Amino acid sequence: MSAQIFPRNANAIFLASLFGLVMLVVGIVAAMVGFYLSPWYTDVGIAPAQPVPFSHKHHVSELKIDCRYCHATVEKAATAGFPATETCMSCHSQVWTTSPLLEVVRTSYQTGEPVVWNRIYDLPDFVYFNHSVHVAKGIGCSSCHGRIDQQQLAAKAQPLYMGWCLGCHRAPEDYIRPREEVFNMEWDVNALSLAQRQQLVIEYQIPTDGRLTNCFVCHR
Amino acid sequence: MVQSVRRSIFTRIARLAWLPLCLLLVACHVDMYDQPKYKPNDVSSFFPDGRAMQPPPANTVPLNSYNPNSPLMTGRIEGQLADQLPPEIKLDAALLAHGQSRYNAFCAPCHGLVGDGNGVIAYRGPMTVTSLHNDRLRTVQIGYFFDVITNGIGKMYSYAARIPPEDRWAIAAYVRALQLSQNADVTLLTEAELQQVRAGR
Amino acid sequence: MSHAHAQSEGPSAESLALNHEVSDARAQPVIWGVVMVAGTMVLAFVLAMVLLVVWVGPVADQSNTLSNDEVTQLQLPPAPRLEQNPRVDGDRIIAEATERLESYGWVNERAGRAHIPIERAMELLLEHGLDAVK
Repeated sequence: MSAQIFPRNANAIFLASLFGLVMLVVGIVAAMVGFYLSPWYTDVGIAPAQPVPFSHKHHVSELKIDCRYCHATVEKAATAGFPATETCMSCHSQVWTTSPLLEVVRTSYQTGEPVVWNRIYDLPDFVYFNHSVHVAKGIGCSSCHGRIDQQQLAAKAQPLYMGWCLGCHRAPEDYIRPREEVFNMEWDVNALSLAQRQQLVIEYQIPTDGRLTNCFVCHR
Repeated sequence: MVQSVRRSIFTRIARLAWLPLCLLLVACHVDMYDQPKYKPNDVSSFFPDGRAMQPPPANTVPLNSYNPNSPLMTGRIEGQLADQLPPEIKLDAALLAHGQSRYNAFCAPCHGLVGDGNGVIAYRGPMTVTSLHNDRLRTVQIGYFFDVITNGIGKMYSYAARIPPEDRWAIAAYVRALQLSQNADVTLLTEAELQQVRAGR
Repeated sequence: MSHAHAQSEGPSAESLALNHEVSDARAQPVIWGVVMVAGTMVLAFVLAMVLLVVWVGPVADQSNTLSNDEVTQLQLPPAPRLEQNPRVDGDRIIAEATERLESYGWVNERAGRAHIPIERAMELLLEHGLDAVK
């Protein structure tokens, strides 16, 4: 009678380690995917520090200031237009004139040195994005920027992955709204039926023949 | 013989099948994400003031733009405030609708949607905002509104940088519509409307 | 139920004869454990949802009024006071203005001046020209 080579629980350990190995591989893949989609990588929902703690919630939701008051070129140009110091001062020369939080703005207005804000939406340089065409074709601010009127400090609402862009370029009728409602933060897409939204797609002459998903539409 | 040579070529090629895996490494390059070019609002290390967007030099006008001394751009005819729209601007429903959207975006925060000076900012801020509904502003030339938007007045800053001249005229026309809506001569109204006025609905 | 564990310590005679273990680890308890953990998670999730649904309503205050009880009123500073809910005030101002711009009514009955909806005013302005205001 020879001694047993394997202890009694060897079978169990073998099974467990097989299982563990599979789970390890699956787990590593899942962790990488999770990291790729998480705010650690995408910065979604993370408000970077800014020279002035500007609150969109206060200015949009409470003071009812239109988006275009500050982002004045959004209907005409590729960029929404970052407000000049003068725009801030058109109110804050009267309101909150002694606040230490606005010292940066007042100094900038006096010296002409721009306030350096930290960019929140940083598209890769090989992507050409134009705000004006989206606004003109009935894609609302909140479709991409989320409920920024409820954010005290501005943070990214979308990771800006290409699949997300394509989701809308493939099916604009799922996101479109009437032009008059583009700047309405509270607009719900489902306020219009699918048929009505498809009608808008036709009315605004949005191509539905697949042209919108051509590479060169954004990468040119 | 020939076959074995061919097979050895095939095996050699087959051995290189791992090469496409190198493509996976390509995605790690981020050079194209941040190209050496300026986009709007970038910080610049080239220009001394640190701005990629350079302010235009003094006394320059945009290419293809209008005569900077024309009524369209100044709101004045031979130095006097214009009492009508410039020839380039046509008074129609589209102009008024456009003016309404501009007015509600840029003017309403202080002057109020009605134009009575009771905007949300005026309600909160320590200031008195001019109402558009008084005899002085009802009888003033329309160029006055253009002039005020362009150059500012009193505590009001210039909005020339944010509102292009055509839009300023649209706003001026819409202000006239606002004034009419709050001070309409009842002789202009129909009998049915008169009933509604009397009923206050 | 668990005949494997009921056996005495040490290798069984059969496994000694074959020089390896003949009985496998039992998967049933492991599966049961996983199911129980998953079940607990789902239950906790549902419970948290119910609590949120019940509580979130009152947490987001939509009101703009102070309570009328004496203690609160005595503690208040003289007016003008801080806004309690600026959003409600903003909504009210916008709503009032919109209502004004959509209704008829007298401004000065003796002078024969009325306020009319803005849409109608725009029509009249197009009809009578910019000087209709004067």
